[in-house]
Formats: sequence, structure tokens, C-alpha cells
Amino acid sequence: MMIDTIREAIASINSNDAIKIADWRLVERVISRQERYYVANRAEQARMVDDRGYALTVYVDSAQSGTKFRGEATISLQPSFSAADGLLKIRQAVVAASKSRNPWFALPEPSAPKVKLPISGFESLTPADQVEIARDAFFSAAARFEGSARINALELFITRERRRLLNSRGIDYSTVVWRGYSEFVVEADSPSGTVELFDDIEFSEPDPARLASSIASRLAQVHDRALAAPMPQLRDLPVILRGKEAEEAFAWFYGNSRTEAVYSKASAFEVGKSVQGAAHSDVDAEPVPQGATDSTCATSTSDTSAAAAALSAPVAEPLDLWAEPAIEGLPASTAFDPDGFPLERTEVISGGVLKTLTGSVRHADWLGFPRRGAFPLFSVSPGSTRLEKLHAAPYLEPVMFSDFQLDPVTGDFGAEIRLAYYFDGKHTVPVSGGSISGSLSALSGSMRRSVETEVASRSRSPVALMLNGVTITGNA
Amino acid sequence: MQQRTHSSFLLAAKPQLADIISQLKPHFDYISVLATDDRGLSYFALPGETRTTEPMWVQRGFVFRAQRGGKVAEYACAVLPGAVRARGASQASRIDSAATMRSAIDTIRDRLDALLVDPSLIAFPQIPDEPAVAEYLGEIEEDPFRADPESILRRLSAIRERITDGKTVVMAQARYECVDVSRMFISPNRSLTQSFLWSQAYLFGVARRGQMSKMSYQPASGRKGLEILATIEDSVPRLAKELADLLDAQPMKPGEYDVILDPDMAGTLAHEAFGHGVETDMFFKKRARAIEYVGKRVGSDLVTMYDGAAEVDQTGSFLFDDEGVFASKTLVIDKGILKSGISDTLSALALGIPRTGNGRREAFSHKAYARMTNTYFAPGNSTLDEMIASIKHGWQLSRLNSGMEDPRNWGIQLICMVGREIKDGKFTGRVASPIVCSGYVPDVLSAVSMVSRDFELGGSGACGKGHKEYAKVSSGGPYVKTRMRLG
Repeated sequence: MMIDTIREAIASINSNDAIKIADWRLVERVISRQERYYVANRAEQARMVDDRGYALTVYVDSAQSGTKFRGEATISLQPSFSAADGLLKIRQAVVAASKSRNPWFALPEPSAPKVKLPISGFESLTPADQVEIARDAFFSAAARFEGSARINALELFITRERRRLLNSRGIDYSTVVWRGYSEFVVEADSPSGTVELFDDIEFSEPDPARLASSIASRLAQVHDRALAAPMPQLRDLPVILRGKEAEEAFAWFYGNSRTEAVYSKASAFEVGKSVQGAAHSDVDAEPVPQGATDSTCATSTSDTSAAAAALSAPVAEPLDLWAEPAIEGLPASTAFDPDGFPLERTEVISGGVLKTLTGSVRHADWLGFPRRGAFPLFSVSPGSTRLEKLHAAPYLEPVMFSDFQLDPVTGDFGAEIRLAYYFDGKHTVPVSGGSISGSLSALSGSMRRSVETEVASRSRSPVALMLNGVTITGNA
Repeated sequence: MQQRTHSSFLLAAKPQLADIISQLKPHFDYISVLATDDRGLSYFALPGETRTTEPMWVQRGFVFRAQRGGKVAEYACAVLPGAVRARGASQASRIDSAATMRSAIDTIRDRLDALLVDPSLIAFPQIPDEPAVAEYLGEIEEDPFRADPESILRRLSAIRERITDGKTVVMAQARYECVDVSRMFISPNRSLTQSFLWSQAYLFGVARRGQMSKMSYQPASGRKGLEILATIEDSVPRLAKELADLLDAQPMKPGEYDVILDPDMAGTLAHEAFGHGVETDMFFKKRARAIEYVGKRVGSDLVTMYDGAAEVDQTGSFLFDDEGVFASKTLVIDKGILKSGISDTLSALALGIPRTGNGRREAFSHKAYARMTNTYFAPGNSTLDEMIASIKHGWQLSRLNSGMEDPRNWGIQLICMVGREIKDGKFTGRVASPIVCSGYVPDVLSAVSMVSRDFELGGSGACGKGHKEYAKVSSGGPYVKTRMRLG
């Protein structure tokens, strides 16, 4: 099934059927991917993938007592569908959409992009060279460790995706996205056996330096894990989160600033108010539409819990966060959101106060906020403390967890530690085992950010974030 | 009960696939194709809106596997090269002439040839192709594909609205999704077809006091249809109380405690501890310490553990895996002694061990790995009341949030949302949330001191390999009493 056939099916339904398609949105994805699966430096198998698919959303309008409603249903259409099968499936989607009566909203109209995305360097390489450049970057970095730490296994995926977004309002945007992805396991020998660490990286450019750096840092750390002692019982110690875990903490603020989260009340954030617990006044924020604030989300003054006490504490370092359409090197960069709304860098949180909401345009409309679009990426401004100073007093700095979990709604987080660095004021030692837990909603006021920033998996943000009050569970 | 039917697309494609395999056979030492046509439905009732979409598992395509000189390559495609679109309903896109068929075969062969020249490829023993012809058709009670979407959305909205009181529970969402799985495996000597439907449903709730939020959920799952929604409907009062309790949750003093894991938590302990740890592709990569412990003690006498797509019926059940190997039931641990692993084809061949039917793919476009199916502890002889009464000071843990394995170093992480304190054999009413449970796997399994008679499997989640490659699995079994570090 191809785009023309889908258009014909929509036209046929609107000509012949009782239920009409008021609007539609169609995304075509054509994917070509090279895959390699290395065990040490040999490939277990080689794979190639040619994939193609279509995602069609149909919108059906209705009205009751003068109020317009809009229902929707999204289906996948396979390229191997016959025209008749496609028509049947679209008809079923139209019926399903007619059963939803959500508040009406308008699809975005065509507009010029507000950001220009660079053409990836992968575009001019042969498939073999695409794989070889990435493979060589990883294995050359590992060779420099001369066996003290090494690659156990590495998976490599180089994907070219041609994406086309169309809608019934005339949008027809095409883009080519290159997505490199690698998962790797590195290992080192310890007196009690071999230890390992696991990590992954996404990339949109054949950038050997970035790839080499990502694996080199883990190779150095796995060497330290081989020397790590069991984590002792520790109390009242600041915890420094690094890399992806720091990014995940920042992402909690970004996620709770989304129109979908606020509309559904999954988020307790309110425009014009602090997102780090302390009260702010005289803030310059987006005007809050009447009726958009839910009284059940207001801060309770009768709450006497420890969390409430933490929330009323002064904010150590107010957060500044921006929604970003594009960051160099990250495959999620895009000029338009999934609805086709043009994206432009937007200040979301300033001085710890929520300035505006980003997210799906329909939820923005329903909340009565301006449309900003759903951004794939974000950035956080540098903090005021250099890494060197964060490391000047005793701390625990986990750099690898079993699986760091941060609940997007509650802000509760926790994980078992595979490798951390513990500084007791005199010596820094690698430790392993134990766990940390806490809640960002209670501890975010204590948050301090490093001056140093880096590109992580979906942001440019400080490389480190220090929190006080985190529960630490040791091995003893 | 209603029996499923095979995908008409796959049935129509079968003769051409057989022809392609037959013509590719002389070029390779081994050749096969897995064809998939999994369709699905997702219904959401959210605050202020309802939506119909499709689950992430929906797919249709082909993956050809070839072996030559021991080296293995795969070419996956959504459409057979050169296929033209059919006009009629339920007709597959097809190759409509001998010339096009020749071209399609040449294209597939060229792709595989190009991959097989990679000098770094490992040479595996010959992939077996024992003769077999088989099919399986699942059964369900209420067919979601025949139901009126409005009735499903109304039912979900009603559940959501019942639990949202606006005071304690400020938001809730209800969700139902199903996948109608259809797979066909063809090689020179094998022709296998299976079709079955699985469903899962969730009710999520968020309770809030001030800026503090707590979340919990009720899942339901199985190789069933819409009948699973009754479980969600019945759960509303219990989930509402649990959410209210969570608002009063207090941090626990970190330390090692006696714990009772509910079947979901216990099943995830099995899954993370000795499920991932015995996936034999991890043996092949020398990433699993378990390979050194086969035949040795890894847990107490009360620990018996299985994995298998056969003999139990949950979302991890099937007739054959994605490499055309029949499902089995693997005894992983027998009364504390580690017995065997679960294998995909290539690691089994490399290690010279049996193929257990655990070679699974997220989709036709993904690689097959050794993956779990249904993973569980065997029931014991205790009752839950006896287990609670036996605890001096500990916690009953439920509402799994996540788990993570560490096959090489045998760490374990489970995170749950609800811990209920037990002192002197009785619940104190104190609740803690969330709780990070960790430990050293042999210590945790050796400390298993009671196992209940219950047996429940839950299959509402998905299992990743690393941080990707999701597969539908179930886990569970009885309540298990052990000791873990909590924080």
C-alpha cells in the first residue's frame, strides 16, 4: 500500500460512507539498516533490514448542543496490504474514531521550518564504510587499554530512515534521519573473577571521537569496578548523579512541563509557580488561562511530611531548562513535531519557575495555552559549581547502576549501584553494591548542577547533579 | 470459546515462500524464512479523552536466514523484493511472473551473499533442519476484533471514572490492548504455522497530596480476549485503598530484612536472577557466571524454577519460536541445583547443548536472541498466612515497578511500589514506597525459607535484552519468603 492508494481510500470513504474523515495525518517511514553483532572482535552474524510502514490517523468530527468534538484513531498500514484490505482497515479506524468525542482542535497548517538540520556525514558513505568507521572507533579505543579492560560484546546499528509527514491541511514534509546506535559490554579481570559494565550510545554522525570517548570512559570504569570494595553504610552524604542519570533527573522536570501531563493531571506543575518546591512571587510567566488550574494540585499547607518540609526549604540552585528541536549529534533532532508543528527553541523553566508548557498542540489548545509543539530534546543551563568543587567535600558518586528508575509521575527514583566513587574527605575509592533511593519532588530544592555540560542521549545538560537527602543503602 | 484463524496474508504467501526457499536452497548450506503478520488494537481512556491506536507489536514482514561455511546472515524485508500490490481483499502482495520471481530470488540471494563475505563472521556448526509440519490455533472467549469500539471505550472510561475521586486519586487511565499473533516458518524440511491472541489491560491511578504524588496500578493479561477486563473492573476498590495508603508511605530504615515477595515480585526475581542468567547466548559470550554452576547449588532446597513456552498458558506461550524450534519446558533449577539453560539456535550449536525453543525476536526486522518465555518458581507447601506469621520484622512486597539482571556478577535489583511492614507475625499498617530491593543472587535464593502453594502467572509486561529487543513474557509462581537488602 502506498501513499496514493491511501489518499484514494480516504477520498472513497468521504464520497461513499456516512461517516466522513474530517482530517487525517499520515507518516511514511522507509528504513534501511546495517546490523553487526560482535562477540569480542568477531561478528556473530550480519544482518540487513529493508523496512517500510505507514501510520495513518483519521479524525472524525461530531457536534452536540453546539459544541464540536473530534475523535481519532491511528492504524498502521503495511506496504504489502492490498488496496481493498487497506480500505477496510481505514474504514474500521473511521468507525473507532467516531466513538471518541474529545474536545475539538485544529491540525497544524503548512509552515516553513524554523530550524535547519545538517545533512549527516553518513549520507555520503557506503554501507560498508558506515559500519567500519563506527566499529573502528570503538575497537581502537579499546585497544589502547591493552587488555586491562576490553570489549566483551558490541552491537552496532546504522539506520537510514526517510520520513514523510503529510496531513489533510496540506502539510508534506520529508526528511532523512540517520540513527546510529551501539550497545556495548566492557569487562576487566578482578581477583574474584571478571566484572563487566554495560552502556549504549545514540549518534547521528560518523563521529569517531564521540564514539571512542563513550566507550573509553566505560573501559576506565570497568577497570575500577574490578578493584571496587563493597559499599559501606553511609549516611547524610551528598549524592552526585552523572551522565544519563543526571539527564534523567532533568528530564523529569521537562516531562512534567508537557501539555499532556498537565492536562491529564499526571503533573502537579503549574505555570508561574516553582517546580523545585519553594514559593516564588512576581514571576514573569505565561498567563494562566481561567479554569486551567486544578485546586487538587495546589500545595497543601497542612502536609507535615518530610517531603513537605523539604519542599519548603530554600532552593539551592534554581533550574533553567529549554525545549530544543535539534542538538548536534542526536538523531531525534527535528524541525517539526509529530503533528507537523514547526519547532523553535523555547524557554520552559527559568529561575526554577515554570514559564510555559510544551507538548502536543491539542493539549495546549484544551488547556488554553499557546501552541509550542512537542519537542524531542531539551537543554539545561550550566550550574554554578565546577566539578572540581563538587568533588571537594565527601560525596557518593554512582556512575553505573543496574537500572536507574525514575518514576515520571511521582519523581521517586532508585537503583542498585554497580559502580560508584566514594570520597570520605581524604581518599576516593571505587565501591560496588548497595543502592540509592529518594524522590525528586522532595529533593529537587537541594539540587546543584555542574558548570561543565555535555551532549547526553536527549539533551545538552550539566554532566553532574548533586542532591542532598538521598537514602543510601550499603552492603554492611 | 472461539478458535483463531491463520492470517490470510500468510496463507496466500506460503506457496511463493516455499518456492523461494526451494530455489535458494542450492546456494546455501541452510536457508529458512520466518513470515509474520501480527495485528493489534489499543484502546485508551485518559482524563478528558479516549483514543484508539495499535500496540507496538504490530508487524508484517519476512526474515530470511542463510548459512554458508558456518557463517550466518539474515535479510529482513517488509515486502518481498519485486512483489506487486494485489487489488482484492485478503490477497497478499505477490510476485506475479516467473521473471519477477527470478529477480526476487536473486535480490534476496545477493543481499545474503553480500553479508556473508564479512571475514569477521564466526563459523557455527550446521543449523539443523529436521522435518516437521505443525500448526496451532489459539482460543479466546470475547473477540476484541469483533467488538464495538464504543463499548470497549465506554467500559474503560467507566473504570477510570470510578477510581478518580478528585480528592485522593487525582487522575487515572485505563487501557486495553491485544495482539493477534500469526507466524509461519518455512525451510526445506519444515512448515510450521501458529496463530493466537493475547491481551493485556491496565488501570493506573495517581494519588496526590500537595506536590507529593504516588502511583499504582492493576494489570491483567493472558492468551485471552476482552474477558480480561473483568479483572480490572473488580480491582477498583482495592486499588483506590492502596493509593490512599501510599500517600501515608514513610521511608523505611535501610537494611536487610525478611521479605515475602508476591507472585509477581517472586516471578521477577526468578526472571532476573536465573532467567537472564541462563540465556545461553550469555554463556556463549562468557557473560553469565551460571555456566560455571551447572550441576551445583545456587539456592535452597525449596527453589525449583522453570522457563518454557510449553505446558503453561500465558503471554509467553507458543508452539514454535522465531527460529522454527518447538517450544519446551526447561527445568532451570531443581531443588536448589542449577540444571540447564534456555537457548537460541546459534548459541546452542556453538555450545553443543539442546535447542529449547527460546530463540525469539521483537519483530521480523530484529535479530533472534535466547529469550525467556514463561518463567516461574514451582509452588511449595506453605500458606501465605503461615509465611506472614513466621516473620519477626520484615516486609511484604508487591506492585513490581521494574527488575534488572546482572548475569556476570549476580547482583539483583527489584523495585516495587508497595511494602507493608510485618512485626511479630502481623501487619503493622505501616507502608513504604518505593522500595529498592537488592542482593547477591545466590544469597537471596539460598535464603528462601518458605514457598506458598499458590501459583499465578502475570504477563502484562515486556522483557528487554539490555535496553531494547522487547519480547512478550510472563513470570510468577507462588509467594516466596527470603531475605533481601531494602532501601
